[in-house]
Amino acid sequence: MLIAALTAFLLIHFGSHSSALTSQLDQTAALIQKDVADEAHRKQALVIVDQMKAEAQAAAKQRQKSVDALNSVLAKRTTPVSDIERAAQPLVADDRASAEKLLDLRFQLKSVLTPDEWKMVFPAPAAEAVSKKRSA
Amino acid sequence: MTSSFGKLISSGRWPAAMMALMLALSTAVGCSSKHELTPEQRAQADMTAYEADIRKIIPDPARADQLVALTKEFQQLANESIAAIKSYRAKVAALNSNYDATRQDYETLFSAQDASREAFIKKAGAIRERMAVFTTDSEWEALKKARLRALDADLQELLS
Repeated sequence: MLIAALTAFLLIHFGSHSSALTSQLDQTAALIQKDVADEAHRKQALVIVDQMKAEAQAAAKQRQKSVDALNSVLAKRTTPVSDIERAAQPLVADDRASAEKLLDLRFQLKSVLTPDEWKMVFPAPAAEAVSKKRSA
Repeated sequence: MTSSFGKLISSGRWPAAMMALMLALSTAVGCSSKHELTPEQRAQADMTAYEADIRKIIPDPARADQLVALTKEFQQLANESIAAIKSYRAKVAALNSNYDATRQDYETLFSAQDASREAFIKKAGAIRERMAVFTTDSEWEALKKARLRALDADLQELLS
C-alpha cells in the first residue's frame, strides 16, 4: 500500500491543476445545452468546451510517458528523493502548460457567455450540491 | 494498541500477540455481520490487518516496528494531503463559478498548490527513504502488494 499509495499521491499532485480545471466538463456541456437559450452563444460555448475536452485528452496522452518514467524510478527501493523530483519535473511542467491552455479556453468561454448564462452553466458549489440532491 | 502489540512481539510473546490480533480481527468480522462498522472502526481494522501484513513480510520485529510507525506517519500525511487536494479543488470550482475571477486569481491559487505539492514530496520522500533503510529488496517487492483499504478508498475518490 504505502509504496503504491505514495506513487498514486504523487501522480494526483503532479496533475492537480489540469484535473481541477477539467473535472466537470461533461456537466458543463450538459448545462450549456440545457440553460443557454441564445443559439449563437450555445454553439460557440459548446465548441470551446469540446476544445477543453480535447486538451484534457491530449494532456493525458502526453502525461502517460512521463508517468511510466516516474514509475520505473519509484520501483527501485534505493531511489533518492532527488531522482524522484527530477523524474517528476516533466509531469509538473506538462500539467502547468496544460492548465494555462485550459485557462485560455476558460476565458474564451467567458467572452461568449453573459454573466447570467455563466451562473447557470457554472453554479456555485453549494447551489450545485443542492441541485444534485434534488435531482437524485 | 500498536505499541503494546510491538512490545508483545519484541518480548518474544509472538503467539500471544498473534492470538490477540486474530481475536481482534474475528471480533471485527463478527461485529460487521451484525452492525455496520463506524468509519473509525473500519480504519482501525484496516490498519490492524495491514500491520499484520507488514509483520508477515518483515520477520524481524524491530524493523517491522519501524515500518509500522512509518506507515502511520504516511497515513497521517496522506490524510492531510487528501484534505488539501479536496480544498484546492473546491477553490478552483469556486473560481470557475465566479464570472469575474481573473487569471491572476487562478495563478495565485496554482502557486499555493505548487508549494503544497513541494512540501508533500519532501515529507513523503523522506518517509520513503526511511522505509528503504528498514527493508531488503525482496521485502520492498512484497510490501508493494500489501493494501490499506481505507487509503485506497480515499485515493479512488480523488482519482475518479
